[in-house]
Amino acid sequence: MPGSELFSVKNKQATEVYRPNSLENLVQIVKNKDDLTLLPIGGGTQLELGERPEGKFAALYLERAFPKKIEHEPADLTVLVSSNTTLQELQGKLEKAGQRVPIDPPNSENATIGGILAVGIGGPLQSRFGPPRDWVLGMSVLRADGEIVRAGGRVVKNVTGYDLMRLWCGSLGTIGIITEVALRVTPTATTNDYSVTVTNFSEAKKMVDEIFIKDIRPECADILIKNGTHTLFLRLSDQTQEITQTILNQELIREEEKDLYLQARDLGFTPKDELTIRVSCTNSSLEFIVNELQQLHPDSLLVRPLAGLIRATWESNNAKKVDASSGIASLREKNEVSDAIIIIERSLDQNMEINTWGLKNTSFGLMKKIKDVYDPSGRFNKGRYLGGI
Amino acid sequence: MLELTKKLQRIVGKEHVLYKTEDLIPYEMDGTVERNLPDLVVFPSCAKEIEEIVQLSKDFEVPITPRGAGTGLSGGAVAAKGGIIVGMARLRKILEIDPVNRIAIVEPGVPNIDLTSSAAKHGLFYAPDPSSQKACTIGGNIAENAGGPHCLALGVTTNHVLGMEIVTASGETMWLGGKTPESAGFDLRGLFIGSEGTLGITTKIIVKLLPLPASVTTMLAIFNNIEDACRAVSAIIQGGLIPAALELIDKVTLQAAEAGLNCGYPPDAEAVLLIEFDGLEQVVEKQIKQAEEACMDQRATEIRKAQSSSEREMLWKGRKGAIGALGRIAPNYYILDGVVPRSKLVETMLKVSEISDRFGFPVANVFHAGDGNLHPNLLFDERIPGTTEKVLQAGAEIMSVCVAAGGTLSGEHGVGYEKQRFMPWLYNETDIENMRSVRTAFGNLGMFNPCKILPEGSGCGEIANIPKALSAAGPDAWI
Repeated sequence: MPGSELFSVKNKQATEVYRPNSLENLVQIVKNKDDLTLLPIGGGTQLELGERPEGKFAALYLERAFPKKIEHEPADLTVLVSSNTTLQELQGKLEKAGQRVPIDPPNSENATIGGILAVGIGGPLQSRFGPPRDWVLGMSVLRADGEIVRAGGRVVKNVTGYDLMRLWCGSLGTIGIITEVALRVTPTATTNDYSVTVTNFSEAKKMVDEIFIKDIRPECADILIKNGTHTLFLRLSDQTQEITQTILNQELIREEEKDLYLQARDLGFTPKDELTIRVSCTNSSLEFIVNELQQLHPDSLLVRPLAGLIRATWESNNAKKVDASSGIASLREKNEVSDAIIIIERSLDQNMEINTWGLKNTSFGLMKKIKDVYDPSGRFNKGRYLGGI
Repeated sequence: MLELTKKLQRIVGKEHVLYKTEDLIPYEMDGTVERNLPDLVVFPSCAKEIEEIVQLSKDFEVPITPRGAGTGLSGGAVAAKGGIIVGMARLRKILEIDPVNRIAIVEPGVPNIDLTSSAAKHGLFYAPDPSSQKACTIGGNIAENAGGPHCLALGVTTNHVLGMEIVTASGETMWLGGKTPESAGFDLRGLFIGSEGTLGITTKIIVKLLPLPASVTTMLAIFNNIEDACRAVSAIIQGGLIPAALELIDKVTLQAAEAGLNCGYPPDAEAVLLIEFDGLEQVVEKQIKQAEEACMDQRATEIRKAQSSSEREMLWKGRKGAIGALGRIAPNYYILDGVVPRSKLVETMLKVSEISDRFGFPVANVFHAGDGNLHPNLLFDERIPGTTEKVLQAGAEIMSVCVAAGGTLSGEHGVGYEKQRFMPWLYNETDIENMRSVRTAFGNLGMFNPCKILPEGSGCGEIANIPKALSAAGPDAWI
């Protein structure tokens, strides 16, 4: 097929490139009895995540697989979207009613809703609004056997049937291709961005704890560590700015532009970033892990304490990256962080072999069974997920 | 059965196995109408024992049904095909409250209120607050993905549980999720929550705790008709406010609650909204003002604000005890749990009242209006022959109205036994078969809490000895 030479992931080239232009066409491709595993692609902003595909694979672009649809119900605070809708397109529509979906993963303008949910990661707004999966009300998914199945609905509260949306979110397209999503939306509050210069991580972390305990409810609270400087980035409503300043006993510097927000959101995913990891850990182990990571000399560190997230990034400099990858491997083994999850989000150096997902957990056997039930022949994204799922 | 009983006694100790009919009767039903007598009730003390019990049930090919406090409202804890009920009454320790990480580790039999009061000592609380919170357990809350009045702003159980140790239907012990916000691989934690005890039994649970709000203001907006109250709900939400709670109580319920609980409700009002905001004082003040204006715009006749924490508690006492108080009006009631899009509240309420009029049952409404989660209670007297069948028929019609409005069968009570036969209204055969595959993966081949959630063919007929069960639902029921 023309164009197939253009697509490769983790240094492995696709055998085919499919660009279905209708749902029927997509179903046909999925049902095809070829021996390829299909790699579904939404906006293509997070393709570095995951292991190298196992066996021969085809890139499957979903951009034109469904007609784009955005059915917004402002009074219900819900929206139904086709999965190939980009976040930007969706937010543009919601904005007209003063609403939004508070999901903002890295480089998310061109990311599609389906892709964002399949990957499952959030952005700075996660401190206040939780992970993307918390905003999903219902989903339709194309299964490996070519059937479309649904779960959930369009109402904001629903316990009718199994919560398959949670299973599908974050499953990296390994058990189905998301086709349509019903989301909860929220009114957009008036906020401003502020920065606070701090001398070290510990001080910044204490501030975030204090803000949280005092019930300030910031939309964003990220700590950025870069070139030896520490910055606390806060997004606050008008009414909470003054009291925050009093609590922290620090000047809040108003950020007129969105630069700091965008930096916090996209850190680790700019063209010069070569190795990016994400850590999910408890509040009490944040400081220990930040200290450990500092010893691996990352070019930047982002800490989102209220989401229990740390992101470390190394730019192109081989010596540092090699040290970092062995450092990450040994950090995973440390007792002090036995609860933490360390995921390699991006690793552009193809010679560096480092396990993306880390250790398997006690429920891995069950995960394997889930995969076997929904995609026994490994039709979707074979080998890319935890433990080779 | 004798051999099974002996084996179970060896696992958990003689005194922790019930087998005499008179001992089994309290376990034949939960908070709703369905009932069926189990053959045995067993109370394990740890995951290891649960593992052995599950294994035994498989060896003997006897159905097994987990049970928390039995406050559920969809028949989820009823042993639909008899067999063993596994009770969590001995697993009720709060193992750890970790204020630094703002998490708690508890056993499944811990009552919801105990967790919240223990957390309060550290300035923290556990958000999901079902009205049955004095009795219902955290394990049961996980099974049902329980909500409560305060889930409008804070979300339901699944938003507040980080992980749990479970024994699967196949008898394996494992952790789903953990202490961290994210875990690697499929979100089996999220899948398990709300699975109504059909995939396994929780043995340890890690929950998130939140700091107690800086301030709370509760107000009552009084209306001359229920439609205006419903419109005010939409106006509040559309105005960009998400209150901590937004509850609607109609006249029938108000009068019953006031007579039974003296909570200061206006007995002549047609409907009231119980509205709560929490957070920083200056923020709350502004929100309350905005909500007040929205209510006045929709012809609220009066707004009352709780002036003290005791006044606030009284307002909530009336709300949380409202259903029990309905016993003053009629001997029986049948509680529904449909959800509709918020914008369809008014028209759905009109249809509900039309249906209850047509069937000749008074209806009492008290519900989570902010979520569009209706709880019509049909009031009746089961001593009049044929009434129970009629009330179930009226209930089914109301549920179909909710589904037709783009809503769903259950917002927080679960499908359980009660509504499994209605699932085809929402999902096609492939969707249902797809859900059934989850059970296969967890090793449930049909004997682990049978006849729940998904419609099943044989052996799941009418299990309920309805009249008796209805009267037993009595004054201790909650929604």
